[in-house]
Amino acid sequence: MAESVEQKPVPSYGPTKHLVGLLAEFETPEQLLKASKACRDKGLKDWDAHTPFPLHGLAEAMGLKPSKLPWAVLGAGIFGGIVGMSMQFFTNAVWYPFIVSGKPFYSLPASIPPAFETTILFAGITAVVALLVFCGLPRPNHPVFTSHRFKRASDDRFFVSVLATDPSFESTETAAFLESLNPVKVERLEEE
Amino acid sequence: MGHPVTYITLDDKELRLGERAQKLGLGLFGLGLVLVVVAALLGIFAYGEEGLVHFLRAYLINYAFALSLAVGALFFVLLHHLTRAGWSASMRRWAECLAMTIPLLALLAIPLIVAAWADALYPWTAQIPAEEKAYTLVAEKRPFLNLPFFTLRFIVYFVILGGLAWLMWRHSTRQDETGDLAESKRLGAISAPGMLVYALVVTVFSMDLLMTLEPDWFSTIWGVYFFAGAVLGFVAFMILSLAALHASGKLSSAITREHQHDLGKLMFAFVIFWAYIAFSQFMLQWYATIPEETIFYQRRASAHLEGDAQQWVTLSYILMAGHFFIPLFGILSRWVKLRKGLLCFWAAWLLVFHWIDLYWIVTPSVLYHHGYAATEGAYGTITAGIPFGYAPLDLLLFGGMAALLVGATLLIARRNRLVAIRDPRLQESLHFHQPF
Repeated sequence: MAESVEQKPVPSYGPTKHLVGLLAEFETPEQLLKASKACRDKGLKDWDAHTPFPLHGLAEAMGLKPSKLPWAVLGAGIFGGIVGMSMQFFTNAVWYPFIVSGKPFYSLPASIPPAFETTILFAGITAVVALLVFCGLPRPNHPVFTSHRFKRASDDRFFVSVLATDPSFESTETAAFLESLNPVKVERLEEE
Repeated sequence: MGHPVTYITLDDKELRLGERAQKLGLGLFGLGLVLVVVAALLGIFAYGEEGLVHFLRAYLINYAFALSLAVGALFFVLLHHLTRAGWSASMRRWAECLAMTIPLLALLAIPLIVAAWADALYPWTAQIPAEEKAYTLVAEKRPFLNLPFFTLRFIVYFVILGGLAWLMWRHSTRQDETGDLAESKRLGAISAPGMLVYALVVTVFSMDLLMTLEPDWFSTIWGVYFFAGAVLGFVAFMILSLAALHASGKLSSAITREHQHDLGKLMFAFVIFWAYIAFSQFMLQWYATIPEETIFYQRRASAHLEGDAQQWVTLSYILMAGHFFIPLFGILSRWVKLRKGLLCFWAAWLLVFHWIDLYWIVTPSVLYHHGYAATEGAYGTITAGIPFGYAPLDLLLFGGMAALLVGATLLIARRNRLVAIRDPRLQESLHFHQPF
């Protein structure tokens, strides 16, 4: 086993640190794609791939499923359209009937533009909010930030992080698995 | 980008149309001419007195259909150079060839000019009797609506549109030989003023071609309405024709699933754009209720239409559903746009409804102004219903114009490669890939 994953003796003073995940570092995008495929095939759940730039084929290699975002936006859009239509129907035709330019109390053509606007409004706001929710944002911190080497994830290195919250996570076994992917280094992520 | 940079080379055999395409092109061109002549003979001799009007009506509908596809193609090419688009570089040549049919469409416009001089189609070409002058605005519009100026305008339209199409095609095909980067820059430089002139010409052209069927009518959005339908029709035609080229073993690596997906998105966008423009025209005129604006809808969607004329109301609803609501949900999903068969179905669907749109624009006005089978209703003169009896003329001319357009495009495309192989942005187009 490489020295990097060896259990260091816990010092008897200072705050106790415990393992929250493992970080494997790679030099090339090809290695990251290969490692991602291995993690996907192993059936890991709480893991992620980190790259300094958008990487073609990474979504497929990670086995990411298409986002549910479109469904949320569609649902909100339809709901917004119904809200806009019924708002005009109840105000114009039921609660405050008032003849405007000789048209019927409720006439479809005139109420389409406002209903269109509420459709777009609801869909647009939902797109932003649901995107944040689905991405798990806002997230003030992440275990990978404990690693100094991880700073290179925005420069020239590629990382795979596996979190301890993953159901199949077992420190030595997972570390051995990551070592088998030929990384530059496997690092223990520890938090207080 | 992240993937290793590879240079995609295209198999030259896939980029050239063979002998078969030459024969097919000539065959279609001949067939088109025959069908148009047969329709003319049938209209003049088999249908009696009303036949000529219905021939000219059907000719105008199908001419406008063919023209709209070519004009849409010219827009696509101009837009490509104007925005320096990368994604469409590998499909640009096919659109250039389609736009190059504009000179042919100039020849096909001659019957319409003749019909105008013979006072056989457009209502404003007749002399207005003194006692009717109070009921029509044509006399006031004479400085614009007169035959010499009308003819001159058609010449100007075709010189400008044909010239633009030729410039786009000429510089692009020359680059195939020389590989000169300056050609791309020149195309970009032409496309910016070209787009401005294009917008003005297409606006006035669509007014002359279709709007003058209703010379008393006002609509300032007409040019955009025609343009929206034209680009939608073009994108649908593009999807179908590229699928056909794929099926015959051409362009298999030049046009990928990503390109098809993008065309699907463009088609979806123009479904919405058409509806937006069509609704904008309708709602403002409906809301204001000014007679010289509502006459257009009076013939098509009025609650006061009686008897057979109610068919136009039904057709208006069918148009609304088939041109907007059904395809809106039909091609909303990415899942549909990525499946070639489904996307081709919707492209064919939208081409049919683009045609129905033109039919709906032309026919009620022609029927009304020629007084055919008009009846007196409680609210004034009412046009006849849909002239199903003359459907053979519509179908023959549709087949004729479609065959002429496709045949001519094939013959033009046969002269060069199907892809602008030395375009500086071609590799970008071939490599284009969307993560999801």
